Amino acid sequence: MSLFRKMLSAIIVTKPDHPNEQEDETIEINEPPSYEHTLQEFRNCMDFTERSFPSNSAKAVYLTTLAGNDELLRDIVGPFHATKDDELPAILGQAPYERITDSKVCIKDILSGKAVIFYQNEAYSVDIANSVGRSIVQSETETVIAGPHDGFVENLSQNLSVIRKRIRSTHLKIIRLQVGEITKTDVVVIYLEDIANKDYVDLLVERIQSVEVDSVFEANMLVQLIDDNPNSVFPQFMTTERPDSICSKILGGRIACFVDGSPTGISAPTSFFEFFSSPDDYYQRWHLGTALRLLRFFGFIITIGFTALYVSVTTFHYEMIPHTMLLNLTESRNKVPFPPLIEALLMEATIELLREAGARLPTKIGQTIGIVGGIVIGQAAVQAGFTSNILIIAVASSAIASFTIPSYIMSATLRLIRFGLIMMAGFLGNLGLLIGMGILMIHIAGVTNLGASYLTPLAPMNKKDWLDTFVRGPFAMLNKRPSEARSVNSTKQKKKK
Amino acid sequence: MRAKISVFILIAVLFLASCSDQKIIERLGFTRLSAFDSVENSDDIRVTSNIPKADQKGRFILSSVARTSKEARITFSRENNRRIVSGQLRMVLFGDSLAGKGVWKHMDTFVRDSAISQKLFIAVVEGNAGALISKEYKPYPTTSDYLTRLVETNMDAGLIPKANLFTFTRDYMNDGVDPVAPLIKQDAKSVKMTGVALFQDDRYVGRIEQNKSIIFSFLHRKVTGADLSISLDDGEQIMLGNITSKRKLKVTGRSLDQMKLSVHVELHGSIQEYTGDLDLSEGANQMKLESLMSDSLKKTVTELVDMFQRKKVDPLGMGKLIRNRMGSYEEWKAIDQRKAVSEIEVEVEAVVRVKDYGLLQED
Repeated sequence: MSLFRKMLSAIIVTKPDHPNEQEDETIEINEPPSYEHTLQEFRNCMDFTERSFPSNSAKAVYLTTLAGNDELLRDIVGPFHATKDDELPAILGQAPYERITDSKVCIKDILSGKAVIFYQNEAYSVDIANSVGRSIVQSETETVIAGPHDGFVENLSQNLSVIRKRIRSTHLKIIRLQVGEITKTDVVVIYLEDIANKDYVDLLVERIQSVEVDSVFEANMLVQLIDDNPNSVFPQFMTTERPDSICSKILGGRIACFVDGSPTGISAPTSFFEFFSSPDDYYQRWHLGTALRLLRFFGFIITIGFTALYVSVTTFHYEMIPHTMLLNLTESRNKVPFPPLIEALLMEATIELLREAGARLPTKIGQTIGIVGGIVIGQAAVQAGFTSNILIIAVASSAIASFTIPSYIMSATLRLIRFGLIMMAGFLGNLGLLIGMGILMIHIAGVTNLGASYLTPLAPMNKKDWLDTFVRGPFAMLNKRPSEARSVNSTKQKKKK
Repeated sequence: MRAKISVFILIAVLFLASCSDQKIIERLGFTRLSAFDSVENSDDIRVTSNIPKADQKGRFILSSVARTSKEARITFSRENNRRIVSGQLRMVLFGDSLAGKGVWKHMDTFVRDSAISQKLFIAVVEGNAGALISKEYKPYPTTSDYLTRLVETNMDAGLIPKANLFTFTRDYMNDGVDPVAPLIKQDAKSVKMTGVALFQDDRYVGRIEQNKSIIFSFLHRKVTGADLSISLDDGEQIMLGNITSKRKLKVTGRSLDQMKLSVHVELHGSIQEYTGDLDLSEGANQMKLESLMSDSLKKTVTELVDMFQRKKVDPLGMGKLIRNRMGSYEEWKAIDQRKAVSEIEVEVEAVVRVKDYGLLQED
C-alpha cells in the first residue's frame, strides 16, 4: 500500500511540471488566426466547409458534422447573405459573435462546433453547434421503483442542465477542465460553494489536471486514473447514472464530476457503504428504507461468504451441519467425483459465464440464456452427478444476493472476491475463511479516496453518521451532512424541537 | 521482487500446509448414538455405535470390545469404508452395570474432543445399552432420531431431568452436587423412560421411579408447561396442567450441627381434570383443594429428600448450600461431606396455587 502512496505523492509533487492548460494559453502568445492557416490545419477533412457570401468579402468556416441547420441559418446565412461590406462591422459587434485573437483558440472553436468568420484579417466565432445524442431516459443499470425516472446522457451540457434544474442556487459552481491530449474531452467538477470542502475540490481538480493520457471516454475510466489506490480491487469513486443521486451527493457536501460523452457521474469522497444505498431508500418510508438497506448488507455477507462456507463446512467442519441436512448432503455429494473446492469453483465459474453471456447479448437473447442456464444447467448438473443440489442453492443465492447491491461495479468486485474466499475456505476451512475476511478488512481499512477513509463512518468511528449509513433514519433525525465530506456547513436542517 | 517472493511463499504455504485434516462429508460415517456396556470379568467395555445411512432408511451397527471408546473407533474404521467420526454424536447411553462402576473415565473423551457438542444427551439404560440402540423400532424411521426426540420431548415436559454433557460434567466436577441422568428401558416395540438415575460422583447408585420423576424435576430446576396428575387419598384424581414451578433451597444456621435445610416448592397451574365431589366454583372449596394438593406434594417431596439422604446422594446440590454457609473452604474440606448432607435436618414446604379451575360451571 505504501508503494501506491509513494507513487501518488510523486504525481502530486510533480504537478508544477504540468501546469494547467488554460493558464498555459494565457501565458503563451500565439499568432493571430489566419484564414490560410486554418485551411491548412483542416486539410483532408471531408466535413470542413468554407463559405463565402455574394454581397460581401466575409468568409465563414465550420465543420458541417457539428453544425445545426437552424443555427447555421440563424447566425451565418441569415445575417451575412445579403449584407453589404459596410454593414458587417455592426453585425459582428453584436453579442453572439466573439472576436478571437489566437489561432489555437480558433482551431479549438471550430473543433467544438463553432463557426469562425474571417473578415478583413480579423476572426469572429459564433456557436452553431447542434448537439447529437439520445434523449433523457432512465438508466438501465440503476432503476428505482418510486422516484424520478430520468438519467444522465452522453451530452455534457444536457447533464449539467439536469443538475442546474434540480439545484437552483448560485452556490452551485461548475469548473471546466480538459483531459485527453488528443481527444480534449471536457471534464467538469461541480460543487456547492460554502458547503463542499475546498480542500477536496482543489485536490480533485489537481488530480484531474495531472492526468496525461491521449484519451478519456468514460467517467469510470477517468476515476481509475485519479484514484488513490490503483491496484485495489474496490471501486474508490461512487459512480452513478442517476441525477437525483448525484444531486444528493452534491448537497451532502461532496463533489461531483462529469466527463463529456459519458452518462456517468462521479462523486467524491466516497465511502464503502455508499455503494449499498439506493435512492429508493429515501423515497419510501424510513422503516422500509432501513429494512432494505439492512437486507443489502445481508446480501453482501451472503454473496462473499455463502459458497465459501459451503466449501469449508463440507470439507472440514461436518459437525456444524444439522444432522438431517447432513444426510441429504452426503447422499447428493456421494455422486460427485470432485472435492467440494473444485465443485464450487466449477459452479461459480459457470454462473459467471452465464452472467457474462447475458451481459454481452441483446436483452431478448439474454433472457433466453438465463432460462437455459438456470433451469437446464442447474437441473442437469445435479442429475448428472456433477454437483450437489445444496451447492446449486449456495451458488444461486450468492449470485442473486450480489445483484441486490445497487452499484454494478461494486457487485462485480464482490463476485471476484468471492473466488478468493472460496479458495481460502477450500484450503484452510473456516480458519481460511476468517483469514480471508481479515485480509479483506485490512485492505479496505487501508483504502482512501481523496485522502478520506474508505470505511467512514466505521473507521474513523462516527456514530451519528450510522443513522444514514447502515439504516435510513427518519428525515427529522438526519440533521447533519455526512462527516466524510468534511463540509464547511454541516447542518442540513434545523433541529426540530 | 520482495513482494513477489512473499506472495509465492504465501501461496506455497496454502497449498502445502493445508488439506491435512480434511474431512469431506461423503467419506465419513457419522456416529449418532453410542452405547457403553460392561464386559463380564474384565475392565474392557463393549462399545456399540449406531451410524445412520445417508438414505435415512437404515443404519450400520458397529460393535467392538475395547479399552476405551476412541480405541473402539479405530477398530470401527478398520472394518468400515468410511472414516468414523464423532462430531454428530447426539446421545450416549450407559448400561446400568457399567454405570454402577463409574462412567467418568469413558466420558472424558467427550469433553476433550472439541468436535462433540456440549448438548450431547446422556442416559442410563436398564439392561443392555448396546442392544437398545441396535434395534430398529418399527413405526419410527431411525433409532437415532427416535431416541433423541424422545429425550427432548420428555425433557421439555419436565418428565426427566435436563441431563446433557454440560450439566453432567458441571455437576460431576462441582463440589457438593451429584449428576443425574434419565433412565430408559427397552421394551418389546419401543423405548420407555423409566425414571431418574441418581449418581454418587460418577457411579449410578439409585433411582427415582417414573411416577415421582416429575416431582424431582420441580425440585431440580424451574419447569414451565408441565402437567402433573395427583391422586388424593380418597381416590380422587386431579390433573394440574400448564404448571410453572418455583423452587428455593435454603440452609440456615451457623455451625454444622445447627444447620437446617428448608426446601420450598411452589407450583402454579390450572385444573384440567377433577373427578372429586367438591364444587370448585366456591372459594372455600378452592382453598381446600389447593391445600389437599399441597399436602400431597409435600409428602412426595419429603419422601424424595429422605431417600437422597438415606442413599447419600445429592442431586439437589444441598452440599453446595452447606459449603456456602461454612466459614472457609478448608473447614468444608475437613468434614465428611456425604455425612453432613445426609444428616442435615430438612424442612419441606410445598405450595400449590391454582390459576384457574376450567370452564365447567356447576350450580
